[in-house]
Amino acid sequence: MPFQTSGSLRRSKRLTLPSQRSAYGSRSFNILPTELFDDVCAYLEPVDVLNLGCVNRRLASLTTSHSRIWRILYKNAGLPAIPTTAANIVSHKQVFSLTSRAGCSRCPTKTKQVNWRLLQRVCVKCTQLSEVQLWNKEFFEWVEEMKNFEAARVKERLNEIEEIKGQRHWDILRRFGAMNPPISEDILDECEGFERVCEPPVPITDRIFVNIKRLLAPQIRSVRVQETWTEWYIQLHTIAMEGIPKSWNGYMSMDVPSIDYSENVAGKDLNFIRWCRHEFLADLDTYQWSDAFPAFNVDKYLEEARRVLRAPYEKYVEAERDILNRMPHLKTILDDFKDNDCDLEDLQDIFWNVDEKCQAEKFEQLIQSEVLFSRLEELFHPNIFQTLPAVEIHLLGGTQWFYQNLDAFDYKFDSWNGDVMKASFLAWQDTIAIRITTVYRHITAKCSPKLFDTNLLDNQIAQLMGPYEWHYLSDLDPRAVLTVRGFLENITRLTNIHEGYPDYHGMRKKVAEIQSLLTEPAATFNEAKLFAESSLYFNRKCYFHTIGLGLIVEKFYVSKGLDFTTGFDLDDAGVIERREWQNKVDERLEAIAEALNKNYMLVIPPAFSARLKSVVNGSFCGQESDYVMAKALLMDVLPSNTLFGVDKCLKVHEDFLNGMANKMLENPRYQEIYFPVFESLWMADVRNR
Amino acid sequence: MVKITSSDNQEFTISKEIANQSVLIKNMLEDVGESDDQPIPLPNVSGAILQKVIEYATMHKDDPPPAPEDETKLKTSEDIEERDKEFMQLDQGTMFEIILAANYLDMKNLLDLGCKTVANMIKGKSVEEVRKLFNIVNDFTPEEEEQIRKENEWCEDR
Repeated sequence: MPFQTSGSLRRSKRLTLPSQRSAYGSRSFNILPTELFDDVCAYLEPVDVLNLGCVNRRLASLTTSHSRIWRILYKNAGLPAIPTTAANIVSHKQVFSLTSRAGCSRCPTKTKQVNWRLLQRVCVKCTQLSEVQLWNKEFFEWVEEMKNFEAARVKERLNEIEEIKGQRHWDILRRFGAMNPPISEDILDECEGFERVCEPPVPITDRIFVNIKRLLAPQIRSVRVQETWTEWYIQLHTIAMEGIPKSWNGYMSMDVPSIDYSENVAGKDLNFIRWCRHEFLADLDTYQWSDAFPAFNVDKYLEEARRVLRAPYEKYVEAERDILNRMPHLKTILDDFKDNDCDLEDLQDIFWNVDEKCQAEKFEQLIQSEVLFSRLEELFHPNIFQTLPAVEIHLLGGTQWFYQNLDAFDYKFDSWNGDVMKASFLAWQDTIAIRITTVYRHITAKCSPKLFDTNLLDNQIAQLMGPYEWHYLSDLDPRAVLTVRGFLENITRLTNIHEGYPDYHGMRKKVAEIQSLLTEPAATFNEAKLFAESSLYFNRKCYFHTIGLGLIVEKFYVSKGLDFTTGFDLDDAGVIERREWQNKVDERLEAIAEALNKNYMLVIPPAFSARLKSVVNGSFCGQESDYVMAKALLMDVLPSNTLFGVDKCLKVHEDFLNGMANKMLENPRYQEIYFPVFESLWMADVRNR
Repeated sequence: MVKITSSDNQEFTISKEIANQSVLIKNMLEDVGESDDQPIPLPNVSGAILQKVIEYATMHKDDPPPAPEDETKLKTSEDIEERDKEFMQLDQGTMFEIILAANYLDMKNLLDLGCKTVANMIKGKSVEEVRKLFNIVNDFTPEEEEQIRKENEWCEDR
């Protein structure tokens, strides 16, 4: 116990009561006896007592390091007791003067950090520069206790702060809740500044609360107004839309204020909501943040709400009735709209957002596309077809078949029979397959056996038995069929190669032509033309795959009358002749390059000649149309052209040659995309697979 | 009833329960016995102050007996009742006289009230403010003041 208050002790102490009078008043603080001075000081903070010690001599004498008051305060504060062996190192008063003041004892840095080993307030920097005196073991134990004590106090203080903040939060809520009308927690949570006013760890007083109210009033008003007009709108909307399916109120499940930013809400409804907000806000305009807001007068707005909000649904019902009258078979499709959210959204979009005059028309278009989609879906997986912007079925002949049977897909007619259409499509697929096999058979018959791959493995032959066409070709030599099919495979597949993809030799275009012949309706099907085109295509493939040296050599074989029907074998003389053919072309191209160099204003890069040869040989990758001029030059430089003349050629192909030279001069580092013809075709095949 | 007389010979008759709030008077009554109606002299308290003390005791006559002191409880001067606060609104002279009287009469509650009231007046005040508050003259020599400043780590801003 810091001091005794029992009667007996008091009585003995009473004898020490000083009888002198203060010079400044009958009785004053200055002359309180020591024990009463201690009694008062026991209620003070150590810093206040330190200050008292600076007032005058008497108070200084009552607060020296030996004074009893420090032991009382020390005990009250619950600080770790100073061991008797350390009493000459640190005093109770010293502990308080260290903890009560601020500032580093060695530099002007502001710090409250006490280094108990040094018994000084020192900043981090000065601590590092300080030497610790070697006090005794008990002192250092006490230092550790002090550190732990301080850490515990910090933690305690933080907990206290949290507690005070929690209490403050609760008090604010309680005070707002006790208002009339009560301001609820929900409203406060919506206020941006609410969290901030709960933050200071200071208990709420009436004065603080008045300030908080003043601070939050505009936000509270805005939240209350927002809530109120929203509630009013929902109330109005619900009454106005009585009897109309919930799905036509879909957006009401959203937060009404956020509807303003939503793209899913109907334009007319949105305008109406905005109009309501404007009206309602005007109704609430005169009310203060803490006022009770008026009851909502539904009747005032009900007529207008009914007129605006019910219109889209009523228009829809009317349009639906009209369509059912004309086309009763569409009932299922129309009913589907009610069950499928996505479809319903499209439909509502029409009646909410489209101009009233066009609604019926747009609605019928929607039905039309729904019918088309559902019918196609009955026949094909949705990945296989598309309906927009035009119908395409990604199977060979699929799109052509659709357009041949357009009437069956017409939503106006109730003649749809999915099974019949499935059978029709299968029959059509079969027709195409038979056409393909006749092409195979035709080519196989014409093809020189020298081209057939005799090294085929048994398992490759076994694989041939699988495909559809084999049924119609089983009487033929599988090796022949395999070779033919290997070169013609692309014509059986619908490819979707990007338009910009290189097609120097026009092979992609050729495939498209053949496919178009394959999918002609029976009435206009031209077998002879199909065979002719297929043979041309097959022949080109043979050149690339069998000879493969480019257009110059290809022209040699053409000039010799060799093609897939004859095979491409040459005797020794033929090989020499082919080399001479190639040399002749090279020679002529070099002569042209040289002549150009002479006539040209600038020096043409040495690489020009090589570039010219490879372009003319078709070794570049690009569109067929880009190389029309190169191909024309090729025809002129072929040895078969006996009328060749360098000057004449220069004149005829001036534009082409100048263009090429310019391009090389403008950008010497310019590299055209180059890779051998084989590779480009191989790439095309890969893309086709 | 108990009779008491002040230093200036004013006599007061008070009920026993009021008288018993002073441990001094209570012990005296026990020592002399109840039959004695001789007034108890209180030579250290003036009539005016005794009047105030009786006023306080009367105000608190129905209080429950004070709880035994809890050592673990932190001493705080914030817990003064409103009526006591009002009671202590006095000039400083009277206030200190009451504190001295409470100490003499051994009235713990009144003494605590006085100490708390004074402590609240001092709390948070600077040295100069304390001097002004209690009308105390700085009687340090400059050397002494320098020494005191050092000891108490006192600077003007606190």
